[in-house]
Amino acid sequence: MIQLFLMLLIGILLLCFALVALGRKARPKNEDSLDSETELSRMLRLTSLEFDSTILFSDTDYLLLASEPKLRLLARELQKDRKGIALEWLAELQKDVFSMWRFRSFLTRLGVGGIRDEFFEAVRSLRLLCLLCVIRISVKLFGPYASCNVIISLKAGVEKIKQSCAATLDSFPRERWPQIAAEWQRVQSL
Amino acid sequence: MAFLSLVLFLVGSCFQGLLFWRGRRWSGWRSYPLFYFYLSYTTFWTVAFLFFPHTHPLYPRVYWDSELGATVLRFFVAWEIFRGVFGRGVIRRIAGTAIFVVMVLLALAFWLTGPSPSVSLVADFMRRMALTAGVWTILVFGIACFYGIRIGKNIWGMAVGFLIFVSSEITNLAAFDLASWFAPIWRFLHPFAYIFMLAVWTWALWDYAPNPYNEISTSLGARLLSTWKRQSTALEETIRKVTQP
Repeated sequence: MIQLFLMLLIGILLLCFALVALGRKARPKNEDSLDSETELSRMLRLTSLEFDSTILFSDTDYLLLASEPKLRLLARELQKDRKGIALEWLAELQKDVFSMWRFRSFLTRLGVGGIRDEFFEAVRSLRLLCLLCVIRISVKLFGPYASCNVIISLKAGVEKIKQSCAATLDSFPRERWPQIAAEWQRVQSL
Repeated sequence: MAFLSLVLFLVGSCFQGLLFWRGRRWSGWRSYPLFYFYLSYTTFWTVAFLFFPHTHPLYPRVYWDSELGATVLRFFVAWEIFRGVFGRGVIRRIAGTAIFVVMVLLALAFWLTGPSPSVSLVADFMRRMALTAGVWTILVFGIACFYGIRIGKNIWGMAVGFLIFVSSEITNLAAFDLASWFAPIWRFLHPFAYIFMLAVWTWALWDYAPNPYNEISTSLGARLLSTWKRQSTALEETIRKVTQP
């Protein structure tokens, strides 16, 4: 009897869970934008945003090593290593921002968005590209740990550009995406 | 009541037809073969029972046998959900092990508790199988959520629709043996759960929408990793120098 009652209860609970899950899925736009972001990453081969840069620019382990007089040399080596990797990642991020800017212009050429949007996107991309240049110089001069907080906000800015780019791509019907990707490849190879 | 049954039958058949039609357009058979096998099985019996007179002496036996078959074949859908959520890799192995352990524990619990006295054995078996399938689906959802795996619309809809039907099945079969006043209510609601499952499946499998790209198999990742490895060797060298001057 208890077993049956438990089964009944579990059944009802599972049903409630499934219905709640179904209700929460009523966000097709969000799902679509995720899809278009994924598609965008594939088309443009965006690699820099996949990398979690927080650890790279964090100075926790450096400070830990530097606090020990014996390990100061090691800390310096670590800083040098990090600097090289950070510069490489920043270069990749810069390349991706530029790609997204170009891709958005390409979509505008295909008939999406207006001059106003295009102008604001260009300003945003240019601002980020300039900031990236400054950060690269700063990393070269002062090492990777000086710009940890700036990097977080910078990455958020790049994410915003990506979302905007994905939203623009989303305004095209999905059936056209492979065609757009092919056309983009052709433009790239020119 | 007969009119309602007819309407439910027609709506269900429409959804099944739509599922096959859409599946054929984007080669659903190739992407989710086990799911379509289960769907074919249920469709076959839906059609077969149309021509099987209910008054025939063999009807109850054939009906329950087909239900038992469907109960077992539901694990095809559960497997398809598992296969669809976890691509090949470490997470799939971890999820597989976790599910296997929970299934073994569940089987052990079923064996220890044994069948309840004065209940139908077939209903008891079907109820336990449905519970196992439900727990399987919940586990897949849980592990996917834990590892932050994004589930595509196809598999997500397949899982939610499946869970709706399976949970209704558990409740229906528990009510069957538990209370005479509750059983008719759920027996009335259960076919709606089946139709609802078909509707969710039709919506989710309208177009091909697999899991979004989850892996970080990027050239930059690989390049940074190799740089890191190369430089960590130098780091080890330095540590050795420091510790053994």
